[in-house]
Amino acid sequence: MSELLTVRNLTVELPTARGWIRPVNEVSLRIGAGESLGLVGESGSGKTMLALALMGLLPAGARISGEAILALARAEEQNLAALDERRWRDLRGLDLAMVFQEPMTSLNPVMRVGDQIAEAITTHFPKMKAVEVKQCVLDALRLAAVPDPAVRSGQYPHQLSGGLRQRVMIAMAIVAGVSDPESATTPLEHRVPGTPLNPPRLLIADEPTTALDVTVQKQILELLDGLRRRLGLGLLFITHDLGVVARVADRIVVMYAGRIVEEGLTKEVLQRPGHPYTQGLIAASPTLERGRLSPIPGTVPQLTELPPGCSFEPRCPVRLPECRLAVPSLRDAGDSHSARCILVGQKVVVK
Amino acid sequence: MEDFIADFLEVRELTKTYRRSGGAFARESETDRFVAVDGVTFIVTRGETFAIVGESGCGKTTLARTLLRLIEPDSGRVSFEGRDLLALKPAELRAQRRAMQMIFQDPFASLDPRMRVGELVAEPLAIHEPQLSRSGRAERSAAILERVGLSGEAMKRYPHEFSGGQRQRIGIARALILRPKLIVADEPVSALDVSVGAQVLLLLRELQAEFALTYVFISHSLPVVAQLATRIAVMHRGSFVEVGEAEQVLHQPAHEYTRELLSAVPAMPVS
Repeated sequence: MSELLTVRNLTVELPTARGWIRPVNEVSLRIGAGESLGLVGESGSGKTMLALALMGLLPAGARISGEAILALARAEEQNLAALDERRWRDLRGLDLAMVFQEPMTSLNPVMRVGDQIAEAITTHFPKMKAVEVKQCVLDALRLAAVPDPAVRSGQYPHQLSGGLRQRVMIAMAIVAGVSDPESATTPLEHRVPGTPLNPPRLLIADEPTTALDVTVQKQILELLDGLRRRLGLGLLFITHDLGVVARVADRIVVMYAGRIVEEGLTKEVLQRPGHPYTQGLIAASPTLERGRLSPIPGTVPQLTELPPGCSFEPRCPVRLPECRLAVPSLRDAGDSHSARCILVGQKVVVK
Repeated sequence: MEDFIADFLEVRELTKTYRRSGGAFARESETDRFVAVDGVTFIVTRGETFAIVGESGCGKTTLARTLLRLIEPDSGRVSFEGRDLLALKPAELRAQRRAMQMIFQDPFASLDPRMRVGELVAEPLAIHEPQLSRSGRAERSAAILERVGLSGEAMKRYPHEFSGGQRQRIGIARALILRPKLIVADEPVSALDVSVGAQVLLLLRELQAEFALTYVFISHSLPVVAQLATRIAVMHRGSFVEVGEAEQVLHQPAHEYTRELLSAVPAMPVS
């Protein structure tokens, strides 16, 4: 699998009244073409800030270092951590796109949804004929499994349910890519499933189903999975919900207080978690079985008051005195599975 | 009245309708009305946790609020320990609310940001136990805050200085300080992180035994409800489609809609 996105030592710093904080702290990860990576974390883990950094949407005043190399369809590479805003406008929506948690806040309430989707095309392809743009909008709505695309495209956001709004957002995210005049020679209906499209090749979805009912959530997850396979999209799926991540992700990255603390294949990480935080998160997630629940004591540390060693040490049930000395490195915890805990290596030695 | 054998909470044919949005001058007809709660009947026994589960718009929050008459129902009957709540005069209702408290989803929205936590928690006492001295109130507030896991030092601080989980603990302390018999909890952990939500669920479970509480627990999440419920009612379009023992509803659901909800719950692969 060729790498679509390669992030190396990405750090984001933000100024606060109490000094600079690092919501994203030396994060390295990779996403292959057509692969789905689940980014798991609770509030304050840095998962959303990482997504915003990858979209060039960091708040004013933020500092960014490290690199995030996106392999573009046009056989070139771009370091997303070093782009100016003009270049970002060329890329955003075309090579990579994002779907947010609350579609209502990302949609313009006084504009028909079809026109909003059309805008995502004309931004990148200003010379495209109106009739072609309209066809692309309908194609994208159809791809996002919106029923009656012609009717829906003429409606306003408030006339749609939460699930439909999220489908519209997904249509908007993929539309510029599927309407690239260079690549759109084959109508979408006749495209061979699994054939990678030209851009957008990376779709970032930040808690896209958190505000939705479970039955609608299930449909949206199925839609995203289908689109990934059909269009060959790389998917970065951000969530706090381990059940959701189990359903959509090939691999998982777990973040805590700005750092990756565990990484590996989804099943492997969920069945044999190496980091005490991941173990705690699994034990704290309610299931349909009663009495299993076991919370993690304490709260997520403030980024202004991080402990000197392992960030999870103050809450960790198996902490050792040396955990306070230095931030542990990611250690090998199995087949392409690693965890940032000094106990991981030790367990292997004991065995 | 103590040995009078009445059901703890009895709800009969409770109905609440709203006007559909047609603007203030829209003509009204039968079809303009939206039935949020459609003739719901159930009984809650003392000491149990009666959970109401449903998706957004099913009417569960309206139902929760009509139970405490925070929303006035159109018709039906709610009786608490044999008293008809809907027949109470405002002053009587206020007195009755002592025994029936509510915990909300968003603790921040339900806490006055300009009041210190000590005042917030003591406020119900000032209303319901006006004879209590200032120091008496402070003592009771400190004790209940400590019980929900916050130090006495928290009393001098403002809500914004606390994390979501701590704010929910403040909300619970405020609900508990009058020693109520019934607590209606509306999505109490939905806005919280997983690890913190689990803390709050376990706290609610402990407090139930300790304070002999009865819960009506409203949630969209079957896994969350599974942690506390003795019985579960599944609500859909204003009505209960299934009511039964928690185990039964979760593992041998009778209604098609319950099965649909259960199958949509994303499950983790368990080792």
